[in-house]
Amino acid sequence: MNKRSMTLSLAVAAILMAAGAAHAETAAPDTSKWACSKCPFPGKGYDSTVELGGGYLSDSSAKFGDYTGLNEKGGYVVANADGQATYESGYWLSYDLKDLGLDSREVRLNGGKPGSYDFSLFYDRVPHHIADTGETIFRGIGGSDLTLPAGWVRAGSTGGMTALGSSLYGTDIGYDRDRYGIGGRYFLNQQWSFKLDYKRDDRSGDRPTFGSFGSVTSQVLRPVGDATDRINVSARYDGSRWFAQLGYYGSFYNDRSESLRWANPFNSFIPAATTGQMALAPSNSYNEAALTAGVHGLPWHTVITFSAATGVGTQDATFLPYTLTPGLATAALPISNLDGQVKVNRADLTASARPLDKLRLRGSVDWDERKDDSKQATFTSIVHTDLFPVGEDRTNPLYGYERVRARGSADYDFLSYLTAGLGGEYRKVDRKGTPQELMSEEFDDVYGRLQFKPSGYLGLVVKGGVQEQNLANYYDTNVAMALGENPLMRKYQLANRRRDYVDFLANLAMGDLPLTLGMSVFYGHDRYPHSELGLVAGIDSRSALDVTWTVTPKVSAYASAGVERVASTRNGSAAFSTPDWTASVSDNFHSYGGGVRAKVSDRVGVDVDYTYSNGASDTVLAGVGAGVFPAVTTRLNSLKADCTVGLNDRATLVFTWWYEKLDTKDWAFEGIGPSTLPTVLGLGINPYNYSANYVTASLRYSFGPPKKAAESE
Amino acid sequence: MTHKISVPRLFLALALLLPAAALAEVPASAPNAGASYSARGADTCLSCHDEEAVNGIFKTKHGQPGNARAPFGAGQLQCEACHGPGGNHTKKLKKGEKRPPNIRFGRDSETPVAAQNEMCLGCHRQTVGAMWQAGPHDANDVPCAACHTVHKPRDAVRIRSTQPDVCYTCHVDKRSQFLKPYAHPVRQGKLACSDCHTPHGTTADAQLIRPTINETCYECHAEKRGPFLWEHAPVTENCANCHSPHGSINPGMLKARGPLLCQSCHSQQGHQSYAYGPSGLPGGGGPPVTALALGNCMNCHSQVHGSNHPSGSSLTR
Repeated sequence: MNKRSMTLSLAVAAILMAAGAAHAETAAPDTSKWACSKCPFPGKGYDSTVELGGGYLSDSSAKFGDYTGLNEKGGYVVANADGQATYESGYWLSYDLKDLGLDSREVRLNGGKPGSYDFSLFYDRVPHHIADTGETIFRGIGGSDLTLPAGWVRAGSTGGMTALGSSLYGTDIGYDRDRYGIGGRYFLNQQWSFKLDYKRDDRSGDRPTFGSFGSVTSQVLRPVGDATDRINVSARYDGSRWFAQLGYYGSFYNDRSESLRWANPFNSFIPAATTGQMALAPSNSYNEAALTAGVHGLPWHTVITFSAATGVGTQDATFLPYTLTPGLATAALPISNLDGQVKVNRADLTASARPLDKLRLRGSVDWDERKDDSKQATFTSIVHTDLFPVGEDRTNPLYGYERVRARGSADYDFLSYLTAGLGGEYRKVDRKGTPQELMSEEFDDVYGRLQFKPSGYLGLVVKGGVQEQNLANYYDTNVAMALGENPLMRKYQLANRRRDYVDFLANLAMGDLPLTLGMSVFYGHDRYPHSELGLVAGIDSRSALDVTWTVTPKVSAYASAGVERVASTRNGSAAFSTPDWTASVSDNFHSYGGGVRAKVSDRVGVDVDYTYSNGASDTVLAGVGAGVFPAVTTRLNSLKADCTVGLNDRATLVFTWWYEKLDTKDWAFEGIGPSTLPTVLGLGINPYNYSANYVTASLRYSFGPPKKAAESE
Repeated sequence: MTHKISVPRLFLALALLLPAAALAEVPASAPNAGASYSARGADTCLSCHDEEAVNGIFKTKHGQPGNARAPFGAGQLQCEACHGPGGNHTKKLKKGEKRPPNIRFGRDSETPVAAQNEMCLGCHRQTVGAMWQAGPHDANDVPCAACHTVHKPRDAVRIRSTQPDVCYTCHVDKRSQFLKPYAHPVRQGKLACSDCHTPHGTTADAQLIRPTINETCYECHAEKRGPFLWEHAPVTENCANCHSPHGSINPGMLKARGPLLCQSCHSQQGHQSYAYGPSGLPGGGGPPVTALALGNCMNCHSQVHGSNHPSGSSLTR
């Protein structure tokens, strides 16, 4: 062997041995004599808890019942159960039945044999109550054809609708989302495993939308009746130091109502324009194949992962006609459906390594693209809100992009308690398809990071950096003007932007004191230096604090607080010239909370949690139309208390009280009834305000081994 | 004929073997690296550590003797499978001598995070750890035990209703954000952090469960996916151009409300550019304008996510 070959072999050997030496050698013990006689195995056994009782809600409120199912005043059944069973062979089963007496009921079942297979099934109902103060004149709510009541008198404004008062009727607004799922994994052996996951979301109900005819519009209820099926299947192979996984992902959206018709309650200068029709979300699907692979245990603790995927989204809903208004001459549609095809491709490669004990390196490169290969056609008879032809041909846009991103970071442990890091990101976006004002942009992020961890009890991290979004070519004002835009406008997601930010995180455990503290502070300042119109500045600052204190083994307490301010400034030009008005919006939000959990005696436990939040959004307009908008405010007080009284080792009485009060002022909805706005026939939805008390009393009974009084969950 | 094996090649062969042999061992940075194992396994440990906080593990999958691959399966290393060799820890101490530590798990442990996590990944790399090094939790030295409580019968982070409280330990500001009047139903227990984020590592931004923000949103909001005949360009690129998914004071979790949100991009001559001041509100002193109250711009342009109607180029149908 020549000298070069010898040197190379020795070098490679040294590197590999260093990698090996990253783990310390210890002779494996003879565990055959390790009887584990003191191990309190439950063996074949089960434990479960069933809770039954009743509750009462003092007031009706859609917002209080939103997602909770507690929207109607009155009585409710309290029914919960959970449990698990284990077998000597290792099989296990667990179940969780929650809020069975409410519209927000949830059932989950899991089981399996570790190392062999596992499965899960679930059902979850998510009620979404939007409003309970809605009033409408339309008949046929819940369907796709909304008609006017008999005897309706059309008028040019809501003030002239003489039959309005007698035609309005109240309706709850909202929809339910039923979620189902089944999934499982099967481990054929140490190398091969397979996974299957299926979920379905089924929605039914209604939600508000608007249907306009020229400058008048009606707030109508569109049906919500759709289902989304998602399936995820993968096969995976694990080698000793590598893995590869091939997967398929499919998502199928089916809308049972693809259009909504509604009758026009207003007079129209086109008398025949009595019915409008809008297209609801078309049924669509997305199919994707993905490959993921990785290798670890390389020299320098190097881990490399790679993934690539290709997918296609499709949609081929048949088009509605240009208009329902008779007498409007329209040409034939150039195409009968979009034959929508969006192709998505992506790939990414990441690597992390620790070439020195004190140095850690990370890097990644990502690429993804979206190509819209749908049909493109020129529509020559577009009718504006079923009233009149727009008088110009329009071609449907096809938007796509290609994005490349590279990221890297290096962290070095200068001292045992101090780590400093540098990192950065570069991203380039090239837009494809229909021209937009900016077809190419670059994004840079450079940051520094310091981690101070003087002991296991204290960790501080501060990170600060600068992000810049720059135009890789020019902002095409010709495209803007072709769209009728003011050439000084810069759309903020396409504009030059500089963001300075700092992010601080602290975690502190007070040594022998049973106190932990978490704190975070973030400040980000956005500037749009080349934007004269549009968004010109933004600030996002937030701070939060969380403290938990184990006062005694039987008493623990926590407190939390958060403050956030999101502010933005934008310029406009009413004269379609240089800026002549500026709007500043400042959203401020505070929250405070705390709670105590106490074991008052061996049998009695008390939990109390209180949360308060206060938000305000202030809008100030300067220049043309100057004025200060009334503040949008929201204040939440929420108190939850529960008391458990153990009757014996199995039975426990549970009493809960939940008080919550929400006060909201919002000028967009405050005092705006169906006819308040002359050109908008509204639903009269009020801002959310409620005060609710929900009390429950129930008996919780445990099956299986008796629970010890001091056992914690 | 003799075959001479060159020393470097022999060295190389041995070196290749060494890592494989060392795979099952504790990381060199662990406090008990190189120590010997205990004499009787868990029976040694439980002689002192017999409290409920420890014994809870026997009600979990880790403590199942019927699972040959679990720490307490037949022939496995029991407590020392995770905590490393305990031989030194149990030895008789001289006066004033501090007891040698084992691997201890948690944010406040003296054991380096990399060593802690290596013990978990030794078994769990296949199921959850394959992409761990790709994610920011690894980059920020988060130990597995910062989120997982292996000794407790019920691991709070794996229960949907208690998972957010675990995440809020570090992501403190998110607790406050979900209290805003328009937010995803995390506070109500109907959505957990892991419904959108995958904390075990991914190359996606913000550790989202799908590669992009939009694809993550389409998991529940597939009606927005399209493609539509008339697309709204910023919608196709990033839902977060307009929405704040962790919560907002504005309806629809919008970053700002119309018309100002829309006027951040739209400036055509006419109603798109007007300055809509408070005088346009009912009772504001001027004629009420359609563009302010209720749905503001969406009073007419209701199909803001895109329209599949031939006459929907202005997103009104």
